Amino acid sequence: MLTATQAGLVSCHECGLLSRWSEPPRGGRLRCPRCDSVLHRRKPDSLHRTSALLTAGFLLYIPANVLPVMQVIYAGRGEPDTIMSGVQVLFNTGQPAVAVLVLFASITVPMIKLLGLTWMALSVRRGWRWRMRDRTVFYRLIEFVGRWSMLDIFMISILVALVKLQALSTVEAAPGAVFFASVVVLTMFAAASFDPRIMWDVEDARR
Amino acid sequence: MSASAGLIACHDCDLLHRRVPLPPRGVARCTRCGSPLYRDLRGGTERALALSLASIVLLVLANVFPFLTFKMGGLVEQNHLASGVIELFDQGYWELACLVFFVIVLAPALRLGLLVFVTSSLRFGWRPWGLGPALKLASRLKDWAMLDVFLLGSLVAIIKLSDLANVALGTSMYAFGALIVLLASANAAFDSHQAWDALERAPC
Repeated sequence: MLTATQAGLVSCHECGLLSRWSEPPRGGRLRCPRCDSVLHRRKPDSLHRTSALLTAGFLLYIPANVLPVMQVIYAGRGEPDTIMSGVQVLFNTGQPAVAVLVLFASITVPMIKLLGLTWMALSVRRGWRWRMRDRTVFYRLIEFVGRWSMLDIFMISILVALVKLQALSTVEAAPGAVFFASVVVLTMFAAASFDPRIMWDVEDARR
Repeated sequence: MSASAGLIACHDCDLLHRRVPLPPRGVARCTRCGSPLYRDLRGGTERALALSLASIVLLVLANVFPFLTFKMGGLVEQNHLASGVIELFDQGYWELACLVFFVIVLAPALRLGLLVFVTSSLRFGWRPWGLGPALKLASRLKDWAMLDVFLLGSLVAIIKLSDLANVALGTSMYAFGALIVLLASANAAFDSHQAWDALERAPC
């Protein structure tokens, strides 16, 4: 069992090529001989960047859920909808399957991303060694499902374009949608900046 | 360079592995963390090229024809795939408009164009200027092309409106549905690391 780092090698994030690692001179950078990307043994400042993006994500998560994301104006009367009330409406109108889908994409996935990545960052900082493999699988899952949270934003973008029967009914976006979209984008960046290899470094350092 | 020949490091845990030949459609996984290391993509370049070309045609159709038609009490409203972008802009939500435009129009179109450029160069042995940057940009755009998510979002929107009014699917919706399938197959047939390997192997 030998890692690339232990073997004095570095793999290029962009093209996967393994090349010999040498400490770059001060202010200099080591580049991949094949694709010319900057080489890093680990994603740069992984823990700091992930933590910063997560903090921003947590902060914006509050207005994203408290503020209305859209407003249905029916016969002159506006009815604001938050993410959660949108799910409730679907439940009440007899669409439980769709309600569960939206609940999953809009509530569960962002929560899993924020809490899951926080837990992983914490596990590195604390030097935990248990369940490495499961944590790596979990990381890949977070990376994969992240984009599906955009579901609500897309739904709003369709409703605003379709429902604009001036006299009768219109749908308008509301400020919460901006916060919600920000959370989705920030957590996508947070997941991308986290390097799962730093979890394994804890294990490798012991051996 | 010679030290690393035939070796591959796991992307997720850094463990070194010796490359072995794979059976057709096989996947090599990391022995420690289970992450996929590389796949057998026999004929993948040709498949990705054909599927991306077809996807571009469908993407154009999906944007040109009406997407949904909404009927309520004699009033009819029709929209296009990207109408929401303009409407969000008009309502003052330019941040959302830009984001939606990027993930459902710009990123998919750009990624498909770049995929055609890269796979046709690989297939026919061309070495045009900008091939490397094109490959890098294409892999960066992968997660940001969210047409599949958009399809699910539009289905939810249709169901939400179905109580209120009559929603009819436009021609664009059918093109869009087919596009999602082709796009997913094109993505599955293409791997950027393996494209770099192929670029290196092929005589210039």
